[in-house]
Amino acid sequence: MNPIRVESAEDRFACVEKELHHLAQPLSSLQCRLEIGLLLAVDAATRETLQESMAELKRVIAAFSRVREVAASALQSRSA
Amino acid sequence: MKVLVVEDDRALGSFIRKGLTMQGHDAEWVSDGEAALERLRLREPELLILDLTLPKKDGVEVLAEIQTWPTAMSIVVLTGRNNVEERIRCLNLGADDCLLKPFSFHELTARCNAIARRRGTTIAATLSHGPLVMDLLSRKVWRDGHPIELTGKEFALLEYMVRRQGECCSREDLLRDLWQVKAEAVTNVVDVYVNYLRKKLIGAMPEGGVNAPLIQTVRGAGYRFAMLQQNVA
Repeated sequence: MNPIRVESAEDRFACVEKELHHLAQPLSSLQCRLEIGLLLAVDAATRETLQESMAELKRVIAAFSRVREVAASALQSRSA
Repeated sequence: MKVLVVEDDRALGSFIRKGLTMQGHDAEWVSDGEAALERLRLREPELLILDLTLPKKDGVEVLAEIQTWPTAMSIVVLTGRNNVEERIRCLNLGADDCLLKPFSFHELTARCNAIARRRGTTIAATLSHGPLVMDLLSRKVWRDGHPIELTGKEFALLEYMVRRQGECCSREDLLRDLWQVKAEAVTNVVDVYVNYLRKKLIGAMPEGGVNAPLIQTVRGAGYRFAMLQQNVA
């Protein structure tokens, strides 16, 4: 008989934190690519595209950071 | 500065190595903890950039092992976990700084520069030769204070020659190092770009300035970067 898995809120927050950790990698990689791309960009159109992409990425990272803070404080208050 | 990057994410590791190499560092990259320790035993860098989540041996284990060695290496730790206890542990194990992912490449290099200043090693963010100044971070160039707009390739060519000022840079070396083309290739791309660069360097001079050539042709061999004569007021 299969045991019933009861996922506690702690388990769910820990799972969220783990996924956020995985998400941090490609976000870092994308940020580095865009910054290095801007250093190397030759024409104005490419620079503009990269700058706009960078602006969008910063919005994504800001949202990511907020979610991370919420997950961290939820985990902390659960374990307190 | 010799740098070893230890990062299991292929895209991130290779981009950090590429960016550091662009800034003039001698950067290597490995992707797991065991490879890192093996590399460190063979060649100690001045700076280690170490991700914490690594296969085979994680970053904390690598730090703990390094702590037992006599080493003057500086260490910047990269982590994707917003965990204060983990950062404290890394700092207590000998890390000089911790950077939380996602991070800006410019912030990473600024922290590396700060560490280098504390070590007493300066990392050149600018190259200057006579009246020519090159900002390696923003990829901007000035001659006697006048800005010069260069393409990426022109900048790379100029930097290559300034770093070897006084030495002859052969066409073969330039083709291989800047265009990744074999020396046997039939192409005049080096001559074309040297001409572009010469025109822009001369064009930057104000009227009445002395237009002594910065880039000299070495007949049958290549090109050489030379010192400019002082401007006549």
